[in-house]
Amino acid sequence: MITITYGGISEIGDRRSSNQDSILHLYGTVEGHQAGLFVVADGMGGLAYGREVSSYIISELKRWWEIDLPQMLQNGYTKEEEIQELLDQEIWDINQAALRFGKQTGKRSGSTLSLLFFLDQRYFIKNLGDSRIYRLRRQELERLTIDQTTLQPVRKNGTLYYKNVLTMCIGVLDVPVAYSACGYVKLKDCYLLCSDGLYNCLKEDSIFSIMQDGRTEPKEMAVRMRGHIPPGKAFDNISAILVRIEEKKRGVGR
Amino acid sequence: MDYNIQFSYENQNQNSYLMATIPPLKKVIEYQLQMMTSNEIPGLLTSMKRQSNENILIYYNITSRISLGQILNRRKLSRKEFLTLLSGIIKTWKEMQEYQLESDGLYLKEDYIFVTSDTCEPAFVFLPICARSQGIESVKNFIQSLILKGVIETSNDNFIQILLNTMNEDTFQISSLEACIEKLSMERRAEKSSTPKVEPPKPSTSPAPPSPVPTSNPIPPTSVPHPAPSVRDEVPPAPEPKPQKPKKDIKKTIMLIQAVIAIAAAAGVSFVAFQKSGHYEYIAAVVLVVAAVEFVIYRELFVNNKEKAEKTSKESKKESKKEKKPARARGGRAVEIPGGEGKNISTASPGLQKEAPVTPPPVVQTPPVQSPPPVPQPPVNQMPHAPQVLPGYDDTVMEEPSEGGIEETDFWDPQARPSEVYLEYTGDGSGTRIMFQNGRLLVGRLVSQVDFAVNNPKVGKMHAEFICQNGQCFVQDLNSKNGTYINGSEERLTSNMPYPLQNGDRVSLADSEFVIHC
Repeated sequence: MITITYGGISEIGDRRSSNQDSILHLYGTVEGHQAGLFVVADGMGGLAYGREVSSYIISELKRWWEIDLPQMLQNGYTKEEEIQELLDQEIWDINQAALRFGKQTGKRSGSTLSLLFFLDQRYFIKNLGDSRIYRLRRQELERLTIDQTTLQPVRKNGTLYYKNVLTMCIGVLDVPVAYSACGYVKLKDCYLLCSDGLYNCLKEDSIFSIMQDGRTEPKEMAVRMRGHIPPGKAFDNISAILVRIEEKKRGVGR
Repeated sequence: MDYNIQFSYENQNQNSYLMATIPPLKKVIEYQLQMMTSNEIPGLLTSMKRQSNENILIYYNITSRISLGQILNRRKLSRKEFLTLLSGIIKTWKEMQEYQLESDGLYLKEDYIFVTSDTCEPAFVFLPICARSQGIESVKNFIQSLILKGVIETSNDNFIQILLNTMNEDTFQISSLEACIEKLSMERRAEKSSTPKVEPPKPSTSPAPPSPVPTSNPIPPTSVPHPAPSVRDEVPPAPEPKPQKPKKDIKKTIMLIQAVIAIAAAAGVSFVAFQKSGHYEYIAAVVLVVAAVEFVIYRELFVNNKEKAEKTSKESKKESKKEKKPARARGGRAVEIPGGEGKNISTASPGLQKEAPVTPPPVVQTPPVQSPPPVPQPPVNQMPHAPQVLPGYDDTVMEEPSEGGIEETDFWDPQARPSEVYLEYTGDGSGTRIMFQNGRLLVGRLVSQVDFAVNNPKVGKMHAEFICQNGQCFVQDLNSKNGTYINGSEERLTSNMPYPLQNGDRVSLADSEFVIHC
């Protein structure tokens, strides 16, 4: 029998004036199934109302957890394709709402979305944008998501350089196309969901060394990751959620 | 804030209550509980407490109120209603401080905010439990979520942007929200008072333009509210079609003019014919005959049909009050219900009374290829009404004679179909029949939010709406992911556009098929 321990942080960083990131971590038994939902949403600072959209994503997914998920499980939707479909439906609806919001305010608004859903022994990933999900399994750190970005040439002060821009996110395009993945969890797996504010400032070696410490609680790991960023070098908002798969006897904690 | 409180509804005598069950694990703040149940605090629902085993039960009186969630399910909030709601939050916030109630206890969820149906004046649930303090953030998140869900009507000014900018300020507090709302309300009042009075238009021969469909219809309260959190888009408001009365008046006028001309022509012709012979009585006779014919035609067109319509509606009202005893159709023959046996009758969940159906906008998109063009409807006053179809047959019930005397014997038409419209769902193999509620039917996957729930993950939570009005049926996709299709067409319907349907059309919501019977 497995259980999940988890913890996360979301903060403003050293240079930004507001935190446009939002996170969500939920875990429990739903209709007799062990389930967990972990989300990082990074509001796009380059567009307006990024925070509003990322907050909205979190509130809608929370509602999905409280209302839709129990009904879904009650109706027996537990097959892989059904779960994928239901998550896609939810993302679709959230995107529609974000698009409406953009029309209403007259300004484009968007957010990334990294979602990790656990149901019993399985995990499901939905990713839009450039927030990431990593996994440490058997001493190997693996990135489970693909950034939906491209390099765009920009000329500034006479110099040509390349800027990383998103090709997909919530709230901008009519049809959201999420990167999807799924699989089975294993004991001692450790997952990290994070916004680009974290991984742009932290090397993967540092991430690996913190995640492999099995004695540290997930929340403490997240705090340590933040602490590893040199003062003044956190140019963006920092969000991170760590999730660890453990044996049931250890109990549930945060 | 995650409360994890169980809510349910109860009726006691004439009152309706929302009941919150607080389990023993949740730490109740006793003095707050005492304060809220012993006082009538403006802005909060009056409450009383009870104990059941180890649980604390709090009963909130919601009589004559409706949940905000239910309103948002059917329509958007107007600017005024939204500002009233925000003002209510601020007022309640301040009152709570007077009674030493923590602001975190204010439960800001649409389904548990209860408003008056006319002015949308809110009253809130207060939960006296220990929770992680969020302070003003909870108000901010609530307002932002309402804006993001698109449940506020847009207006000419940019009041939403002003509100969002106010909330994004670092120094945002309840007082700054209050000042912002006051300013927005004053601007509106100033706008209204400065608008010059429009003189009533001078009467002209052209017909008056159609009035816009009101978007703020008050919804009557119900004693058993049914929570449904999500919001859907409304049918975009459309101009009302020209009412039948002016057409009818024009026809009457034309009819009268035609009658006068006919009589005058008859008089003229007969005068020329009989003047020489001196038989003036023949002239009078011809004029009288023509006048009588015109009178009969007029009566048949405009008087008899009106009487028939009135009689039919009286009869249907009468029968709905009586027990379901059948009556003989005219001529004394029993009337069968077509196709009634062997089919499941699936009634929609007993939801709220819905507002008056909104006339859908004229269809501008071309219908799917397989559907034939809609047959133009004949004018209402010329169409005979379908006979009343009643269950069973009772030999002893006699139909009362009509006002004009004993009606003519008529023959029972086995092909006559009932005037009811329904949707048939064949997805579960049983042929479920779904009746319309006030001309509308919302279909989707989530039981709590739709009139008919489909057990198919590919169907959206609120996938499509069927609308039936003035004998015409339409289907409208509600921004679904997997689309809505008619008669197997590969082209999905454009979202939020009503498409006309004909009897027997197959409508697929993703891959769940329905058949319309109208």
